[in-house]
Amino acid sequence: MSELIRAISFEHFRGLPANDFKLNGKSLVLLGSNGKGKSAVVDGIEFVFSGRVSRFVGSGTGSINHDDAIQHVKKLGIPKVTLSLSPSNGAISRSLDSDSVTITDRQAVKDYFEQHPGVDAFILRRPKILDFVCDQDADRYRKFIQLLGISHVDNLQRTFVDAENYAKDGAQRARTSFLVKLAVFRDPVAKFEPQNLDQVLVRISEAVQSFGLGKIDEWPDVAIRLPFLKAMRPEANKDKIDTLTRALVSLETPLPSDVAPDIAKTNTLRQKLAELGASSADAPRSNIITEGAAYLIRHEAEENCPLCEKAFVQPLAEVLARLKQRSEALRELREAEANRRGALNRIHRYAESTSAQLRKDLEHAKQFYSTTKQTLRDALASTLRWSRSLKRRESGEDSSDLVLPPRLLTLALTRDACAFTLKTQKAALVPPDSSKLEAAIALLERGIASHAEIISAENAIGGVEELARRAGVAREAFSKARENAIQKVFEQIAATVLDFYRRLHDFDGANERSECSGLELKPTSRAAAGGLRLAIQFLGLADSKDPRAFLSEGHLDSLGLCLFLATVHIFNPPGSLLVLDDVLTSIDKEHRRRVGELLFQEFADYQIVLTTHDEHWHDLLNSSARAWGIQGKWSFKKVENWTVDSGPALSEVDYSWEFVDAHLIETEYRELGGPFRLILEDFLKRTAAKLELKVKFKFDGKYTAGDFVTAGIQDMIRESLIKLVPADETGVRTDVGRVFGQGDLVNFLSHDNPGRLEVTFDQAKDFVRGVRDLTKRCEDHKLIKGR
Amino acid sequence: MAAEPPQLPKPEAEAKSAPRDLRAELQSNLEAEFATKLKATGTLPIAVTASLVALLSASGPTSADLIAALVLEDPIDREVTSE
Repeated sequence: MSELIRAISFEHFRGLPANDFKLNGKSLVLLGSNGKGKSAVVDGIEFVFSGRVSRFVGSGTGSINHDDAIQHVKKLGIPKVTLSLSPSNGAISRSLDSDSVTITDRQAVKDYFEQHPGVDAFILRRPKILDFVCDQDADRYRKFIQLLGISHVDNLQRTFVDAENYAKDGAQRARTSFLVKLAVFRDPVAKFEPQNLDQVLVRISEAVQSFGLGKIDEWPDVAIRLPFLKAMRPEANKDKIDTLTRALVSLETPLPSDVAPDIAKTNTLRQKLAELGASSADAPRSNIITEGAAYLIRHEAEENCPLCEKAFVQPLAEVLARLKQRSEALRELREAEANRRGALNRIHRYAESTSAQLRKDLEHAKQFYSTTKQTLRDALASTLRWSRSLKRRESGEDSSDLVLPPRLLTLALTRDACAFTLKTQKAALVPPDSSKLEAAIALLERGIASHAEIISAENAIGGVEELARRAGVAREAFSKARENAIQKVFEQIAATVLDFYRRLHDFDGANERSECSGLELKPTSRAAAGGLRLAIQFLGLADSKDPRAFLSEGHLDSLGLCLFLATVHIFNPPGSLLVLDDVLTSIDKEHRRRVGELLFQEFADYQIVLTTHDEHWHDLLNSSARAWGIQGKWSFKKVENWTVDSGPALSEVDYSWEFVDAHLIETEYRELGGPFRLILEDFLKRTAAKLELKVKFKFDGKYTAGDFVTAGIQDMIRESLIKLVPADETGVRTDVGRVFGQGDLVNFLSHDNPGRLEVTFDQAKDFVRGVRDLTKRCEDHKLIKGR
Repeated sequence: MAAEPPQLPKPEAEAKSAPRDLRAELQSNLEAEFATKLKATGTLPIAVTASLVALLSASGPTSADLIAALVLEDPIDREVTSE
């Protein structure tokens, strides 16, 4: 990520009516007392990236109206915040009247925006510092999974669970279908409820044996024995009875299982697919994206796109990350498509089985009343039309919800009623002493008609149950692998948190120790649903405990800060933003210094925006930055005052000699009034402190160069130096003259004063040389306080 | 006079640790663990195990992809025994 924020501009946004904060790609420390608009800057950054300011929405915000809250109190325009970036010179902006963010159409700018995770992952505010410590395990787990960007692992887990459920569902359907087919042999009077074909065969055998025929051991024998049974019945009406029996066998064969759940599922998925398809312009390219990601995983050294052969403009890792992100969205699309296809297939099979059964029923149409006959024919026609429409849906014509043809809703009732009529007719034809024989004949007829289908259904169970078993084995293996892999990652995160925490707390030999010997981030037993326990080992105790049980408020704050910083360090790319809004109020001076060092050490590659009302910490960071030699990467600004009409007035706190040197050129020297004043006041304050100059007391502590000059500091410096080095009297007088003998040079340059045009470049150079030489002389002779 | 400026901290040796690609580590750990655990069960055909591991390496398999892998059989010795 090469883009950095050059400036943040605010229009009509909270306390910032029209204000620019120039960062010039540096990290920013913004110092100001309460109510000076510091947090509004952070609000603005959050608004640009997320479209809202979280502290004005959600629970605990009472009657606050978010949109009102982010407007400037005078409401003279639409709130708008713009991040200007360099080196692309692009911008990211958002205004309240638009639902979307506006991003300059350059890849680098788009990447900068996209590669920033959710705002909670890079903005930490004081009230949120304990979130990571105090979160419920489930919330903590969810946050880390999101931060890790590994929601695809949880998606995979769901995919394995879905596959297992699909396989189990298939096995259950097969078992149900088998039992429904067997149910035609049920005899409630005899309490006969067969669970398999063997039991049916035994019952058939018992039936034929009761008529003096031999035992039946195998199904083919059933058809052989049937003529013998039929030969025992009286001649009268036997053909008619046979016809009715066969019609009844068909009508009593159940229709396929209920299809309503699959219809509902298909409709839900159609809606979901419409939404996913609309939100994914890449949907038609899903296979290319998936294959591209798979190819790049296997070819780590690839520098060119395998399709167009052009060189990647981003590092391969970033290309791969983007492809994976797109691929994940498309996986969801394909999953929904596959589920829809599966449900449609089952509905289609239902339609085909129903029409096949209706055809069988209609083979006996001569036995039915004409209205029943017509009802069944209409139902068959309706089923066939529906079946054709289902095929069209399978091929993509799916613009409306699927409904079961109304004629099929009442089909079962029609068949039951018809069967009842035929049974009545048959009973009237069968002599009372032949009813047992006819029942036996019907049983054998039913067995012969159903045997093949039931065998087929029974065989299907074996296949789908094996599939369900395999799916269970695979899901279990993945669950364990996922738990172990995630555990390893959390161990590494925990190690980073502990490292940061110790760097803040273990110092000064053994005098200052954290007493924290271990830190755990452990997925809980509810990890599949999402749980992550935070615990520390303290004072050498064997058991790890919730840190709240041991740590003081200040230590908990610094632990919360370390958890946040560790996640930023691990998950956010270098160059991205890190925003810390007044987060160190309960941490003491020495620990703050350590926080500063941690930022300099571990976050040098990030662009940090840090607000504080703590002048001491601000000064400490400033002096530390110079001590580290990284002052060029940091900008220190102070909010001097704030008014409703103009917002905060900033002063640049830049003691940097590099800054002055870099801009001390003919075309820019007239813009150096501010920096000249700062380096002069810095020099005067430090020499005044060392020389114990008596300056008129100021209650607000805001001493200017004029205060020291009035108190005679120039004389004191000159005399002290000459006294120490008499031989260099001329040099000392020259330098003092260059600094203090140029009238209102600094004032002229500090304001839009016509007098600034009278200041020459040579005068400016003399002034800078004088301050530098005098500082050096005072340092050499210990006449100046260190910073 | 304003408070005395704080002492300069002593610069320490650069201790910046290189960020680790935890996502990549997670993925490779996941694939290795999954392959090991599948093989350890010993109750799936080799073709199923190989296909499932390959699906994990690819991006975004669907449940239908998994089902298609789960129904595979080894060409010669069938190792799966029905329960």
